[in-house]
Amino acid sequence: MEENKQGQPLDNTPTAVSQVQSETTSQPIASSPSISEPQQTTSDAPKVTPQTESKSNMKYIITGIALILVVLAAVYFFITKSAQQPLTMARPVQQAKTPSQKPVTSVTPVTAANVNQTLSTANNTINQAVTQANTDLNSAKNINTSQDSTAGL
Amino acid sequence: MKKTIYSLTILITFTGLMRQAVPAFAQNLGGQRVINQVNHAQNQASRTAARQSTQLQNIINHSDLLIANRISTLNALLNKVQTDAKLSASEKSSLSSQIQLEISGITALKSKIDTDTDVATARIDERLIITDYYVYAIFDPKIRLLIILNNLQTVTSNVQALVPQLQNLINTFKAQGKDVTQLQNLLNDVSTQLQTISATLTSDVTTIENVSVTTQGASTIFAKTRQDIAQIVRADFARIRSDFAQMIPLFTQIIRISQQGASQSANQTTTITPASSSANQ
Repeated sequence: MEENKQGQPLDNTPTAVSQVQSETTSQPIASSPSISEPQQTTSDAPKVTPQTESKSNMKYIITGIALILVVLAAVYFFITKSAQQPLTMARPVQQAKTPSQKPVTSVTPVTAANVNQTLSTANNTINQAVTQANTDLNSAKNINTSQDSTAGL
Repeated sequence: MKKTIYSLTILITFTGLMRQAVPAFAQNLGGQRVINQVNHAQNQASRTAARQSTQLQNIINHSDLLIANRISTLNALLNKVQTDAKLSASEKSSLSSQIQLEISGITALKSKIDTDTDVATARIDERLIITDYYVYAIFDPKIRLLIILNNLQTVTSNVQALVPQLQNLINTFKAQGKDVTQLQNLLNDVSTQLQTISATLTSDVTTIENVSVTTQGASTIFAKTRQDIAQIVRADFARIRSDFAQMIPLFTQIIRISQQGASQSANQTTTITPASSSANQ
């Protein structure tokens, strides 16, 4: 048992040292500790490597998922934004229609209900204009142009 | 003239001296006759001056009267333009500014005549009252004819605006299967008459606006325009009125037929409804 116990450390020590040495070459600060410390490092070293690999894989997955979520959010944002633009354009079109309806209502078209009245009014208007024109025509015709004679001046 | 005055002056001086110095000598030489002649010349000169002064004043007074009459006529014309109901604002503005220009020109001429100092200049200026303005021969008839033409243009455009609306109504009746042949012919005639009237009026307005005091044969142009207006008033507008008068009963007839058709179809639907409802039951 002792031999085994002694042998195990003897067998394990060089490997641990060799590992430590290999680590000390890259990390010089860790070469100063005592012999008992490398034993701990020999027991911890093989356990850390798979955890960090899985952690790094998880990081990649999480980062990927986060990126996908960001992309999806961005796509959703742009889709909703582009979907709102036609709605905002639709409002001015509706507003533009309403003023064009007002002049149409302001015009009084000739209909079956008012055509006879309209024609009678037009007839009277023409009659008045004709009477007035006849009067004015007579007054224009009767101007005494002899007042502009230069005879005797 | 100068020589005469000079000689007379010498004679007067000489005679005066002679009368004072040696009156007997002067009388003996017939000096009294010379004295009388000089006095006569003096009196004649003063009478001529007085006559010219009176003549100048008469010319000024006559000119003032001519101008006052013309300004009165122009103001009456301005009032007629401004109170006319059918003239547009731009037509009123255009005609009024022409009249105002005439008034201001004649008023300035009055100021010049009033300060004239010799008969010859006053006579020339008095003649300008006539020849520069011809208020009665050209300006007054020109403005009056423009007023008539503008008023007729307004009526014509108002009636022209009615034509497409009547056409729409006729089209509606035609689409309903009504016989609108007579109505269409009458409306076509109205439209043709209006086009003729409009073309004549536009041409006459241009012609009259171009008449000025230097226009030769202005009276002939005015007579031709009066004839055009008489033709428009007595023939063209009369025909339009006749067309409208004929259209009224035709429209009435078509409207009555369409109303009867509508009431009959309404009666048919009311009679059909119970029958169909009973058939369903």
